[in-house]
Amino acid sequence: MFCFGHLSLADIVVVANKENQIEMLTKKQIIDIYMGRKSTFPNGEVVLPIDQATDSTTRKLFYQNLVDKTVSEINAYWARLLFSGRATPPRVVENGSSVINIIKKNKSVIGYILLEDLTDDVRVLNYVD
Amino acid sequence: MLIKFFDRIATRLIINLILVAALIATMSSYIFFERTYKAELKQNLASIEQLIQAVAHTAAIATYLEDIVLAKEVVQGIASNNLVKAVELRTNHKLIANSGEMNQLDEQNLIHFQLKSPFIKTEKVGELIVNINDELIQSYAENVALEHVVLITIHSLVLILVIMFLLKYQLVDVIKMLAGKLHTITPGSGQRIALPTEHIHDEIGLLVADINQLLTSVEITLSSERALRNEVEELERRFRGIFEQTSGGIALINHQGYLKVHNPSFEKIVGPDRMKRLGADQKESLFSVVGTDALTLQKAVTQALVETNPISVDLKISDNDVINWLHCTITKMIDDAESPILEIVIQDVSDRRNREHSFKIQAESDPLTGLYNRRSGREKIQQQLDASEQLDIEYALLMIDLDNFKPINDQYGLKAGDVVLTTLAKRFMKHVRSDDIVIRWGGDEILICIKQKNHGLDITSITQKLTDIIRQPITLDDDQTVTVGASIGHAIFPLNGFELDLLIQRADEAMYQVKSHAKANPTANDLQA
Repeated sequence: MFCFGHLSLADIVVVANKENQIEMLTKKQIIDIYMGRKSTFPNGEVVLPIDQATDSTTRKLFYQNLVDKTVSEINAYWARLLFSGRATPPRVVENGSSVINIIKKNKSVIGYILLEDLTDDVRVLNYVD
Repeated sequence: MLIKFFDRIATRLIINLILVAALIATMSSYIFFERTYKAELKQNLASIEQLIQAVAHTAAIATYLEDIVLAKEVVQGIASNNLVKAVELRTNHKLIANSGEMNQLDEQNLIHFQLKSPFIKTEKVGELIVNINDELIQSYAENVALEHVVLITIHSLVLILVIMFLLKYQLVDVIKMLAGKLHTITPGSGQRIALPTEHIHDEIGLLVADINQLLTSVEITLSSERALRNEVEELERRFRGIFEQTSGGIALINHQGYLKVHNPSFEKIVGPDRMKRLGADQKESLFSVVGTDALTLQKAVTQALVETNPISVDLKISDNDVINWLHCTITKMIDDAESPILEIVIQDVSDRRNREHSFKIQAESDPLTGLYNRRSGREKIQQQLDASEQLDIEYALLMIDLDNFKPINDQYGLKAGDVVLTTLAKRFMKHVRSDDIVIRWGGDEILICIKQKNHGLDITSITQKLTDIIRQPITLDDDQTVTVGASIGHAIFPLNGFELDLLIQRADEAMYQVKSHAKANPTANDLQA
């Protein structure tokens, strides 16, 4: 299921609660969830994505790998949508361990962390490279 | 010299100019409209493209998220431009925002802009459709074209005015002046058109020179015509004089003999009565007024019609027992099959004819008795014989010698003998037919030639009749009466011969036989006499 041959220090993984029914998310599904287009998993259950701190390297790397955009571009995107109310940006937590903590407590949450921060508390849905 | 307004050169020129200007204005306006329209359309399309490019990202986000509010914002932003008639923003599945009435059929005025996902460039998330306000562009182009028409019209009007002005002063006035001058010039008066100094070297100058040259040649022609006419008039006067004064009667007639023209001499020769008939209302033909010789004249006219040479004929005209002879020469003048004209020249030749006639009579007759003399009588008989040789005709030649003539001469004088001879001559002439010929052959010898057709000649009865005539008593001047007898011998053509001399000889011999027989038998002679 995993392809370790591609792993590197810069690799970021998208993770979810171990009890989550979803085995994996495609890159497109991850984009749609993070950019506010989808608010549910493919099976229809609500998904709550979480971001890392605005100035964090992980966040910068994540968006760069995912949609090839800078953090400020992503901020501009959300700013544009500020008043329409259709989509809201993901909740922000401090760092990778905070992400793991929240996911452990909530089945609906997904988040991203550096591969090196990965623990057994969460399950990998996909790699973002 | 007044020329109708629409016939004037300047008017026609101006009308043509206006027509051409109108045509050019119409055509160029159309071209301007098309060009302006296309250029405007292109420019407006470009500015709308720019507008779309400006909002494309937002529109992509709106469709990506199906964000109605954002979509409406985008649509309104585009629709606020007055070049845009309608806008639609669609995701892949549905319409999420629109503005205005979109005409999907107006394909050429629709701009379809494909919206890509903001995050995945290969994914199409929706479409922005803009309907351009073509009416606006069109009306703009129309305004531009109209402006152009107005400009061209003003331009043309100014040009036409200038052309009119130039035409009037440089051409029309000059032509008017030339036409007016030419109109007043009478050919032959020596007048010429003065050459306008400013036009010496141009077409007007050439025209004036040519007109003057033409006037000169017309003058020359006119004067030579005039001289010729005078000559012809003089000639005509002379010919008329000849025609009027000639002694010969000249007239022109048609083939039916009706008089066309005649001269006074003709009138004089033909006489007033006949002229009245020829010229009166119930116009008579010349044929019908000439009398007995009408057929001769008619024949001559017919002959003249078919021949080129003049035909001459003598006509006998009798008025109250006066016989006039007219010598007519008929010539065909106009050879027209429908109505040919003939010239008839007549001369009164009565005097000559009468003189000739009396000479002839004198030469042919015996002065005492008026009978044919021997020579002419012989000729007459010869003529008859010559004419009759082929015919079934007999001639009896009777030689008469008077008996007892010499004693009367001796007893009563020579005068009495003359009376006997003239009396007998009168008796013979009274009894013979016109064809018969009575000749005083000698002193008391008479030769009578009697013509008899169809073998009906009874010579015995003729001889007897002649003897009876001779034996009638003859009254002399002094109321004395005498009686003469005659010995008659005869010869018959062709029974007794064909030659006249022979026949005369035979008759003579027969007569002498009778005479000698009578002398030998006086009783018998008495009986016969």
